[in-house]
Amino acid sequence: MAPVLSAFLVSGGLAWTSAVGAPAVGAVAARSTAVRAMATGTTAVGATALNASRAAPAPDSDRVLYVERWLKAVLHHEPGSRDESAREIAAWSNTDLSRLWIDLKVLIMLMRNPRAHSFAVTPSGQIIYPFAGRDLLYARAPPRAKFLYSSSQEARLRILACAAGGIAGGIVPTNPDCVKFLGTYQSIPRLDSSKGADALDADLRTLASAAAKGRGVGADNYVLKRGALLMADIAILSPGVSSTQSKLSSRSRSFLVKISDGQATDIVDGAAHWEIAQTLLDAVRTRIDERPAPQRDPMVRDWYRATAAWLLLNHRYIVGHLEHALTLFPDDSAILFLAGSQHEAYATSKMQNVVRSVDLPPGTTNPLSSDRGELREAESLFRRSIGANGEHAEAHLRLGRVLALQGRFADARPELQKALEIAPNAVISYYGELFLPAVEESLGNLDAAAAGYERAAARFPEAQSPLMALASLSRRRGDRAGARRASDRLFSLPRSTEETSDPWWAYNGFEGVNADQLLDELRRPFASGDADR
Amino acid sequence: MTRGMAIGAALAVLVSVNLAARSQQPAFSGKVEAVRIDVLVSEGGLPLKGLTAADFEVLDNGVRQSVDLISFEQIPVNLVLALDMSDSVAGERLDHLRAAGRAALTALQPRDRASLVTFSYRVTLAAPLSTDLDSVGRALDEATGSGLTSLVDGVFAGVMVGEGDIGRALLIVFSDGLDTASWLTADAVLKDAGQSDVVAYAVAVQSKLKPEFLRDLTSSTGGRLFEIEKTRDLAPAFRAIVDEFRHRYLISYTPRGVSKQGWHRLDVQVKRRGATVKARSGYLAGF
Repeated sequence: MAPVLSAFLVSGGLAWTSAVGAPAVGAVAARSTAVRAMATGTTAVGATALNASRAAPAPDSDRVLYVERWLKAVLHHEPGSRDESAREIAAWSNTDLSRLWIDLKVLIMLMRNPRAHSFAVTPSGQIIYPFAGRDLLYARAPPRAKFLYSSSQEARLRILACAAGGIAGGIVPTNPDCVKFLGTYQSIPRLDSSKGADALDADLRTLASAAAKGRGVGADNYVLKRGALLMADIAILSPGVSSTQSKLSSRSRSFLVKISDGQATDIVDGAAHWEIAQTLLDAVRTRIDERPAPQRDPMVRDWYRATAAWLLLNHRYIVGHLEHALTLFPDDSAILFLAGSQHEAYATSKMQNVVRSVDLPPGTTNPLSSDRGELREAESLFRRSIGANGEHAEAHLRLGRVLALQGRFADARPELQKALEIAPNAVISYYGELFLPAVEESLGNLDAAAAGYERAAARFPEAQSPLMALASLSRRRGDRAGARRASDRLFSLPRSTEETSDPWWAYNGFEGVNADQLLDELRRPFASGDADR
Repeated sequence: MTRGMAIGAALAVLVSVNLAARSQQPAFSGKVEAVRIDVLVSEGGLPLKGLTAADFEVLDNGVRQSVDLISFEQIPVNLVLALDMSDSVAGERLDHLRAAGRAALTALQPRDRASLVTFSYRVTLAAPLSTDLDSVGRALDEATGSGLTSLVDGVFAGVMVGEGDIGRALLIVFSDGLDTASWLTADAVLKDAGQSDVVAYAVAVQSKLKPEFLRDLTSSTGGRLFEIEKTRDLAPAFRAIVDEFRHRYLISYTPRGVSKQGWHRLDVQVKRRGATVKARSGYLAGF
């Protein structure tokens, strides 16, 4: 279960890259209908942008085409498959994704308010809803860059938003603003004249129709939810994702620390798939006339449960992923358990050593506390998880282990005993039979410890950890012959390289063992279409 | 620590074996419960030769003891190689490691024995202690690994293989990283090693992270840590270790005036100004 390489995605404290807030801005800034997408950036870029409002058009004139292609990928993607749609988006660079991230935020704003003209986007992913008039942004720190869409880009974005929001309806749009945009669009030079005369091609009409059905259900989440599934699928299923990763640069917004056998091997640009998915789900609402309320949507909760389980199973630690889930679902036992497990992993010497040894980019703070701090955080989260579900055996197990690692053996014992009592499978039982004797040994109950290790050895006869423990315990008891017998048993084990021969090796990651099942359950309604009815 | 005093730990073994003594060499005392201490004495960085029992002073829990001396040449060496075979040791690194292992085997003498323990996440006794050094060499050539690093478990296994047998146990540990998969804790294994009769030397590749476990291991067993820049320096390091080990003294005494159970603190000194002594810090009586 444990891969050789684990990735540690860290959201850096760097300001936004100028790649997404290009210093050159369009000459259309002076036009009252221009849409401004503001982004934070470096001081130099921001200052340039302030003075560049009358400069040449933005160099990334095809950026809205990416939005269109993405929307079509959302339409065609079959959740859980590495289909052509997923492969197309997976091939986009981090620069493309960073731009897409901004443009999707703008798209969402336009979906909800087709008349919006000016708004701001923060690196934290929050969307600041339209404000009138003054550029308050310039009063905010840190300084930022801005760029402007050209009039054709702006117009196209509005069209796409009408389709994505389901307010373009079928052929006939249901929103007067969308009617106006579609009509107006005909008179604006198109971005790609080879596309034909229609503002909405067949795919976009299908998208608009599908999205419109959702509005009838009560919300307009079609693109948001399916988009989140698409981005998660790319991160999970596409090995090509890592090939698009580029070396870390001063323009990088987030970065990925690659770890192999406890050592940091590289730092590269972090791909934005997870962030884009989070941004989309943050906009989910349960009713058309409401502000976003993702915390009330079961699909959002299930998405976090499934993706977090997968990430932990595969040793991908994304700082902020579970933290954000907890802001939405602070009382969800499963999410609390996974978050506790992540902090438990952060406390290991492997992760602590990685953070100590890696050269983090300037301005970036270490997201990990000390091992003691992480253990305390893990304890708190496990306790909250158990408070929400007292029959969660693995939460009791991990709480017991975390308490033992803090030297609180008397507190650890009842948790481990409870875990053994309600253990749902052999692996949890094995862990309990390994951890509880260690606690007994620390409390001086050596006979109980020896008996416990023997039970663990009997449960997984090819596991080496119980035999190591028995040999060490025998030495502690002054029993040289016993230590020799245990080590002879150890050395007689088959030389299997299967990690399953000793589940201890897979302990960090076992918390996500049901990830595939959770992902299947998450995707199924979307694959069948039930989610859209 | 002052010069002339023990800076590490002292090795102690309770042995009830009579060894044939050469007529011109001090003999190992065949009495029951004699304590044996493996000591390195150096001056100016070089092993100091020619010392006799009279040159040594041993305090057992602060009580001065009467010292015998065993010539190191009389006692065969039991070499245990505990080698990291995790993911990071592949390709050229693995070639260098194999060459180093062979270099250590080549430095042994006919009566010496060798063993090979490998560790990635699984710890394996690839070759048990044997005078058939060719078999150990073959095991070395066949050893491969992948996955995480059970360094602490691997060292424990090396200690278990090396101790308790006739001969002087030399454990050479190599790892290019830190522990990521062991069940046993570093503290427990350091304690076990400190109570055994194994002298542990270690070789680590220099990195940002200091090899604290290996440093503590070698310190508590009277050995030494070598930190190398590149794995092509492994073979010279392994040869140097075996050579240095051969220049250690094996002294013994029968404890008097101290308890026969529990942990005993040892202080080993030489009556020679400027000399540095490496020896174990104590022994566990009754084990």
